[in-house]
Amino acid sequence: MTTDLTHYPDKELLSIFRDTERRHYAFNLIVRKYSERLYWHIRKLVISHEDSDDVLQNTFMKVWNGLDDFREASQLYTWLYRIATNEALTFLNQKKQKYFLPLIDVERQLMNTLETDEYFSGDELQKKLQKAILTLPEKQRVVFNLKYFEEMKYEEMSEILKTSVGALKASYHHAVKKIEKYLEEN
Amino acid sequence: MAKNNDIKPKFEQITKESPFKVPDNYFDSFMVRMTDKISKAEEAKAHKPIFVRFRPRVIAAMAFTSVFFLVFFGIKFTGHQKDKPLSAQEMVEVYEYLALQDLNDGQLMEQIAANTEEQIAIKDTLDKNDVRYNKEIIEYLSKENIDINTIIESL
Repeated sequence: MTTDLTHYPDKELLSIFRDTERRHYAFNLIVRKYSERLYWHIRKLVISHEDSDDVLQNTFMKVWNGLDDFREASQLYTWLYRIATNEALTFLNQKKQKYFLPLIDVERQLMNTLETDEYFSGDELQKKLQKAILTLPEKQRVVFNLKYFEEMKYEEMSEILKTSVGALKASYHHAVKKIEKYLEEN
Repeated sequence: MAKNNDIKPKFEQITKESPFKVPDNYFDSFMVRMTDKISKAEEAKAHKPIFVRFRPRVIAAMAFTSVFFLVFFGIKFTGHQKDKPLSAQEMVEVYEYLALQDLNDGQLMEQIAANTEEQIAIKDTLDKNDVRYNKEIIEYLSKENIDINTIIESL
């Protein structure tokens, strides 16, 4: 009989991690529990599978180095999401700076990746929707993805992004309007 | 009353299913790769020389010490002009002045000591009378052999 590791409560995972002899085991459980969810969150932002893999690894390295200092002021998964979001946005900023690209060129690059990526299996409508999402500012894209695709509550999003619920609602509203306009025009 | 006031996108008919895919067994292999990466990072940390491991703290301590010594010696060498010894020329002038008083060496030393005591007394007097201590005034009075008490009494 296999234990369903996804049902390990976070408090228990953290408690096992604090035991120095079992911390690797606890960390593996955390990776197994959250890697897929974080991967898809990152992937929607950086588009490419290879880049998503890099960002996900960086995320978990930060988690490994930071778990000792994690004071449980927030929930574990909102903390993980925060790290993953920051790593993805940092990655996109570094891409901009590395190649001296203005923001719009980063968007174009990501759209090209959508067209050519072997790991994109969506239909034309889905591709159009993803391109529309790419026209949003990065943080607004995060808000839209978390709300629309993951159906996350605003209160949880507020913990992740350290932004008020009101601001997030407004941001999501504007994001939807921009995407609707893009889809009508294209 | 609607519980959820979220805007309903017109594009809701587009499936929310992820259009992205991953290579086969990606997530299983990711776990293995991540475990391996962590182990290597821990090993590398354990083999770092102590200096390298504590480098940030050492640098911070060195920076603090440097700033401390800069401030300390800066104050020490730029302040307290009154403790500056007399130059050779100034010493000659003092001797010439005191020599005019027709004093021998022993008397000269006594005179210098007395001048110094007088300067201290003058300072105390001025302080007691709430007069701002002015080094130049005291030096002038001392040089001209003027009794400060005479001046104070006349005020």
